[in-house]
Amino acid sequence: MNNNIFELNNVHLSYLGRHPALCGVDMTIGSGEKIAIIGANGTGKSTLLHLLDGLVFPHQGQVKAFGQVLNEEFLRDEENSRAFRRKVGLVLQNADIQLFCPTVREDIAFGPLHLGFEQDEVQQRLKRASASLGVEHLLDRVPYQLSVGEKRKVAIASVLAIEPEVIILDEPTAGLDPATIRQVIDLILEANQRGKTIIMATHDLHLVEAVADKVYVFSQEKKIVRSGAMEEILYDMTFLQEHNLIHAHNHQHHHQVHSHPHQHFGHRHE
Amino acid sequence: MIRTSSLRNGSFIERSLLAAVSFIKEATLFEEYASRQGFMQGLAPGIKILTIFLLILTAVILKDLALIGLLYGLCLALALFSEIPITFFLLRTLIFIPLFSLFIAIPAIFSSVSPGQVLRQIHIFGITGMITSQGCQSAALLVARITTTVSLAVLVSLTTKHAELLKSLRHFGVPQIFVMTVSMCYRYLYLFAVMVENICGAIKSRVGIVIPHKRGQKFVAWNIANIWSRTNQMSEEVYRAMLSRGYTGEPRSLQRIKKNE
Amino acid sequence: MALHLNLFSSPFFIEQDLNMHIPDGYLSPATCGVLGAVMLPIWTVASKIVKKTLRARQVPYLAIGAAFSFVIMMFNVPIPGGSTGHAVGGVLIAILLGPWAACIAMTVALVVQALLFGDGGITAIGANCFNMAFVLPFVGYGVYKLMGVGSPIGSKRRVFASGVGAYVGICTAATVAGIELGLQPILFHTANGQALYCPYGIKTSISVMAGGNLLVFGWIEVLVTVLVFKYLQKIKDSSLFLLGKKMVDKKND
Repeated sequence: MNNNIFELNNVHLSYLGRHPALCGVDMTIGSGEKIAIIGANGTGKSTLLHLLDGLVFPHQGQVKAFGQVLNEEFLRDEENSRAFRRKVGLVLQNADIQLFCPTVREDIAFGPLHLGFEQDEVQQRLKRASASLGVEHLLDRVPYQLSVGEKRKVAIASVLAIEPEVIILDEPTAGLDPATIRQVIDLILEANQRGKTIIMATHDLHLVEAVADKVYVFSQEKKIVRSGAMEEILYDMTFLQEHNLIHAHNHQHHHQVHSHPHQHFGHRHE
Repeated sequence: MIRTSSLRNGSFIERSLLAAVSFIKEATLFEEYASRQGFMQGLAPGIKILTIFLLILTAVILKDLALIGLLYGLCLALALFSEIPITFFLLRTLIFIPLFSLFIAIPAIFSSVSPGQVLRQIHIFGITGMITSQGCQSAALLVARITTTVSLAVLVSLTTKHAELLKSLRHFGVPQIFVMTVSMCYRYLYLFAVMVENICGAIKSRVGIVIPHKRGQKFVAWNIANIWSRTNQMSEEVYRAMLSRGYTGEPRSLQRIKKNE
Repeated sequence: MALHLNLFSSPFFIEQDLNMHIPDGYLSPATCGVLGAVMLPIWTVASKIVKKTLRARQVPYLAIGAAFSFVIMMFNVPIPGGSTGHAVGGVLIAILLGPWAACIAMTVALVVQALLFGDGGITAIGANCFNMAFVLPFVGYGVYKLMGVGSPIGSKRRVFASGVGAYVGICTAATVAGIELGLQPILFHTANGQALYCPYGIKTSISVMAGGNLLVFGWIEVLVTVLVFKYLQKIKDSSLFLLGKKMVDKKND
């Protein structure tokens, strides 16, 4: 029995037949893994996440999810799509897109409700998800008037309420303050300990260091240039610099200017 | 509608900014009043809306000025018991629609519009006008009715959370999918207002006050076009966000449970 | 001072053309009822067509499309002489979404105004929808289609067609509103001739309504529609070149 969750084989995808977004991606993601996808802007990270969530489909190559080919035809079947969407949850980068309901309560309940759970079960999940993010006090608020951090927490809660096996996150820490970032990291780690597979795209190398055990690096050619264990990639300065993941900057020490790669990670938290 | 500006040429930026800002302010303010512990806020939304709708209909049907006045008094009393500051309420309801209607109604008191029993003759700028009883009656009726209906409509939207107000449309046979669309419209309207505020705010702080009207027109059109192309993209993204959480085109709604549960 | 007072009134109505948006009290309940009844089959057909063309996408596309119509109203354009005005945008929306989707989107926008801003028009919702969600987009779109027939979407002729469509659309809608208002004193008055609703007869109502639009408001509508259309051509907006076309083609099937 093979416990691979996703298998991507030479995946190509382009928008409107003109703009290439992914050019030949191979990937295998196993159950319980913590994957980070890094790469400069415009390297196809978000597209890949949408692909894994069954929102866009390859024009060439194949995506397999839970051992089955994931394509439009497969998801058109209501049973299949419901089973798949109960197992995979995606937290979008833009919380204003993710939160489209008139109240926070409805936003968190939207997933379970539309995935066919009973009203009682929906209420239970609403309670659990909002408690795990500490957003119970926001339930009757309108999502558009929340702060950036609150929005992000509610967005994550709206996916956790589905209680999926795989949690996909697009830039989960962008624009958050350090305390909230820490909260998000703990939450991801805790979910992983309960057996959830984590896949995230990010620019935040601290987050990668704190969470990921495997890293994929995407290049401007919109494919994977390197993959491997977190330590192996994150401590290879020359490689990271080459792919615009870190930048050199100048420091002044006692009136002497010297330059070194910008690096604030590398010190593991105890 | 055209507004003559005594200010200066760049005022179209200010007016656009004002429209956006006053929407954002109002959305916040209405939400706050709706969560106060007043009389109207305590009523079940379905019953409240039905009652207000019937009152508005009554105001439209009534022909007796005194009875319409009574309704208006009732409306003000309800606002008072619902912890709505009365000056705010009066300003919000009286300015513009009733004021404009008053302005519209004035010519109707003369015999040229409303022939009938002449009450009085007046001379303005060498023109003789005859004020008729019928004219006065119908002008007063129009203004009283409009003031009352606008006040009642504002009262209900001030004292009901917008999400609940829209949800209760379901009781009146409005399809769920339409309710969902209206709610989503209001939600993204807020986002657009913030967008317009940012665009106009940035321009206001950068550009001098005098913008030739041709350039101003192009600026506005370019921004509308730009927002539209983002709009399209946003609709697709929101659709995907819905799809991702199991939406298939059949909206389902959360059943309400009692608050103290 | 005027600017200050604006903050107390509804954000849109103050800027809104009263010619087009009729508050409660101007029309008799009977008139509103009849126009509402006329709208029912139109809404039914529109929602069926929209469901067929947009399928599960209909809620986000129409909701955000309706929210966009407020953006058109929010933006004031400068006009010669130091004044400003804004467009209603009904025809532009119809060109971008197709007339049936525009009908639903305009209805959504009118419901938001009537219910959430308290701009009135709760009993008059049927009448307002008839004028602004039916007459305005369909007449405007029809003229645009007729004038643009056979010319590519990126052509100058289409720009011209969008302008004529906007002008004819808004003037027709205003005239229809004028007829509705003008019928009131004829149909609804007391025994001694006192008007119960709008007191102005058909001649006055129509000339005020149509006149204002023919002379001034219509031209703002043309200006905004034409300029926005031109920019969308320039940036090759997909709704002009893809979605809009697909929806129209499917409808003609």
